[in-house]
Amino acid sequence: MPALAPAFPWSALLPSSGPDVEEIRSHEEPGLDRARALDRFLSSVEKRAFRIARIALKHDEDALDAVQDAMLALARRYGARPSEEWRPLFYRILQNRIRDCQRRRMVRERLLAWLPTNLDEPQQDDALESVPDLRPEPADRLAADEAMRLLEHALTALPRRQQQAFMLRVFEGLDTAQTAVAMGCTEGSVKTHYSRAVHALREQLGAAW
Amino acid sequence: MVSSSYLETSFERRAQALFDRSVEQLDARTRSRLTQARSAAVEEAHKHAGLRRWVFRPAGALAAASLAALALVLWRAQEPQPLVTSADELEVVVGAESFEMLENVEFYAWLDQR
Repeated sequence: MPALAPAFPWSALLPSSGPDVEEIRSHEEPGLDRARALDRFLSSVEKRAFRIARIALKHDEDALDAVQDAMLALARRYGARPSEEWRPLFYRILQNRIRDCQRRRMVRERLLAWLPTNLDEPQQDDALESVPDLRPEPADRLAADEAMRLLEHALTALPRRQQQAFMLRVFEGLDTAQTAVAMGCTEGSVKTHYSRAVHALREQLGAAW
Repeated sequence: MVSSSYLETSFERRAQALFDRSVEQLDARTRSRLTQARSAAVEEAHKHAGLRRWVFRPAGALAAASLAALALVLWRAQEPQPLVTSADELEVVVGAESFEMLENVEFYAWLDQR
């Protein structure tokens, strides 16, 4: 904490706005400042995190739950840690939530295989989402949608660790060290998984992609 | 959008561009759910920060007080012990008879030799 005399009303000497005021206020209210920093951080990663979870889980609600759990866990456990550490920690938590969800699904599927009737409730889709979009779409937009669909399909066919390494490196832009923290492994393992993932995706998608 | 300068091949850069595009196309319902989740997390962080203040500050004060008490006890233990340690000894020292004895100490010394 910088050495500001606590009894002296520094803010009375400053204008009511501007970066200096924000700095002084941030020292006066560290809890509030951290909450704002956390809000900014989560805002910067939430959509990408959702898409990564959605690709891994292939289910909107499960992906939203995983992201929400990861946000809460980060806030509870690591909210007081330096903000530079948040990104790899957040993705590590998210990867754990994704893995937990996949395991629960496997157990549920095994249990349901023993039952005479299928008790698994189908996902309730929003009626509006099922209405076809009849607007004409430009060819390049359709081509990009199709390319992303193929990439997602190819990614889901990869082994889990290769899939994680590719998505964290390419989609989220983590460097090798941050990816290692997020995956809970060494940087050497990250390089191996990533290299294999790129090779496998290239083969699967072919030259046309 | 994430910087793509570290990506080596056009394959990787294309994959990233397609992903960025798909992120931008997220529907309003999903965006709204994510905003709600974020607000809940920030609220949680604020609550935990408050809890830490209420739990750890008194705990810190208690630890400081315990340390101060311990330091005081150790300091007192190192002080030189007083020559008179009991009430009986004090009485002997301050008693009027003792002063009389001191005045006739030569007589008592002679008596002792006899």
